[in-house]
Amino acid sequence: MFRIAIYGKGGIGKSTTAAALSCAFAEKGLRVLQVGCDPKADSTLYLHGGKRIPTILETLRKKRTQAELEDLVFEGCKGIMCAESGGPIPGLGCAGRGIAAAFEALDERNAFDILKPDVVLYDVLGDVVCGGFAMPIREGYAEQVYIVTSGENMAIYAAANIAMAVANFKERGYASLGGVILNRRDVPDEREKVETLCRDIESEIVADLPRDNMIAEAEKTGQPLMEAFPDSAFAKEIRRLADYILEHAPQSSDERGILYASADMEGKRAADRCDL
Amino acid sequence: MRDWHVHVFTSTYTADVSGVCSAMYELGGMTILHDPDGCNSTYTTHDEPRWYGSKALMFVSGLDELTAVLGDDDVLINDVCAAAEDYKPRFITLCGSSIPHIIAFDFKGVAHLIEKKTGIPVLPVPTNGLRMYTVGVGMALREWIRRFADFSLKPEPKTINLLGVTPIDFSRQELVDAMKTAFEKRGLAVNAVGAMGESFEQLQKVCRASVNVVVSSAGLLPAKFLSDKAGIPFVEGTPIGSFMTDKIAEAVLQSEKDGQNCSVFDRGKYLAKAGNDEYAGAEKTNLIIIGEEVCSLSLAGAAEKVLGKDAVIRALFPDADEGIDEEALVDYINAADAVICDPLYRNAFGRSHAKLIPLPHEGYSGRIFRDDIPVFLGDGFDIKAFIMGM
Repeated sequence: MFRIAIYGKGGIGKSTTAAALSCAFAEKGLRVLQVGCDPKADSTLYLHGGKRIPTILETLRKKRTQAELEDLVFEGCKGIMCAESGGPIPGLGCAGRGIAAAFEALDERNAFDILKPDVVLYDVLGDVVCGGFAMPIREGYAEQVYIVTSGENMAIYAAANIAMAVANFKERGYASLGGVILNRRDVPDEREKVETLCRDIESEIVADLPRDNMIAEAEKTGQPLMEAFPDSAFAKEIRRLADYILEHAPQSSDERGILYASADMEGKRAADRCDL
Repeated sequence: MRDWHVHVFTSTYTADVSGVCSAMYELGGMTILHDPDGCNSTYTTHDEPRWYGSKALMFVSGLDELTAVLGDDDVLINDVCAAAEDYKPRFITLCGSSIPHIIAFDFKGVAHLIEKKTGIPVLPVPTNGLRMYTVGVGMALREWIRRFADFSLKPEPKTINLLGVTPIDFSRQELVDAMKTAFEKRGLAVNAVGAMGESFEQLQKVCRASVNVVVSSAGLLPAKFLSDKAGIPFVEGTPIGSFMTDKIAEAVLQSEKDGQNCSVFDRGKYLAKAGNDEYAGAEKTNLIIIGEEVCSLSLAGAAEKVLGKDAVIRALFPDADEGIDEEALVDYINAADAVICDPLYRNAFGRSHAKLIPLPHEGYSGRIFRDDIPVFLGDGFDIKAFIMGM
């Protein structure tokens, strides 16, 4: 099992990237679990035909300890297993603690042992603003962090903050930085600006996702882009990114070989499994 | 699932943090309770009978508001490192109360950092101060075993560990000795006791046992861990009187043979429904037993031997998160002929005519009735005399 977390400024395209990556991994025959870590609970929206799934926190509120794993995780497009942490009523409670509670609920139900995913993606809201939002990169969760950014200044500042948090937490046995995903907004000198960021944080651009209107077109149909427009430039770059991520899974990971074996042997089967 | 429980006249069971401290007390480590202090003194005044008789390194971190809000973990890290430098403990246990829980304090990460700075093993035990002691004891023992047990040892036949043993359930060493004597009399060697009257070195040899005996629900987590990791099966049951000790001894031999986990009591038969959707009022009973889960169910089995198979006997025990539902508690007391319980439950009897048979429990009433706790374990306990008041 290999686990990654996707971070980045709000609205930068994390969920679109995460859902597309999940599809790309599933196309390779890998079992994928995508966990949305955002009170808005829209990470896996287009893996379920544009419909929201019940969040872990709202299920826990209703069923408490009687909530079973199948009440928390739902199968979506291409057999991708999906969970949304959810969050408190807007303006109340504590969203960070909510993410921690959702993670604890999955742990208590031995989610990873039972579901046996090959790849887990955590799609995390915005910045690493508190302990709860750092949960996905703590020991036992993601091994690598990928940051999504555009060339816009605010996105770059957020990316730098996230990279700093990852570096600060290194001593605690947290995840390492896997790379920066450039999601273009077509601002001037976009690649150069993100390359400067990468030099500062000692990382590199691992994917250059084109601005693509096909994403909005796909959303209109309730489908993920990978399903609606599988041959689009965006989809092709996402598949290349998926390959890169698998190739750069931590060397120490025993599962690295297994990931490749699964992907090689079962390559094409997932493409036919979309329920939509 | 009901998410409300009214507690008007019942006390609360000891919290998970006290369970951690209790389990670690004699193993030579230093325990850090990450908390603002204050009401944690109940650990020393009510939950820990050994406090004034022996030394142990138990510290409260003194977490304050700004440190919590700013997530300034360095305050704790520096304090623990300084204390470790002074006292040179063999290991450090880091547990916490509700405030660290709410700010998602990073137990594992901080444990890494302290271990790196001091070179002393640090066990992260992420308690939240909201659950029962059984959870804290279980988590602490599981973490200790994960870190220190010698997994290369091979199980020896007719050798057992007793898991879930702390003064919170078994108060005095005399009671633990009674359990050990009863099993040894039946040809079962007691390898290690987790963790009361036990040394660090002996508990490290926990994998020498062929079967674990879970004598209170606090022992379930380490028992399940050892079952999964080392293939050592477990038997649930408290050796209350000769009859139950015989049953446990038989079950141990069977588990040793077939490798299966089992209980020596019929949970479905004795379980009193309470505080959930299935609860629809108490049934008429001859005897209701209120207390810790494994002890109460075992006592129910022992009582049936005395009262006969037609007697209606039920065990009502606290949920680790919710405690005991007070409405159900009162219903059951009113519908019972006799109740075995901690004397502090007398408040719940009201106008009930049920006979209260006192069995004080340190985890419920603390030190108040400590001197009145009978040696209810092993062959010396006459269950008939206890129930009939003879």
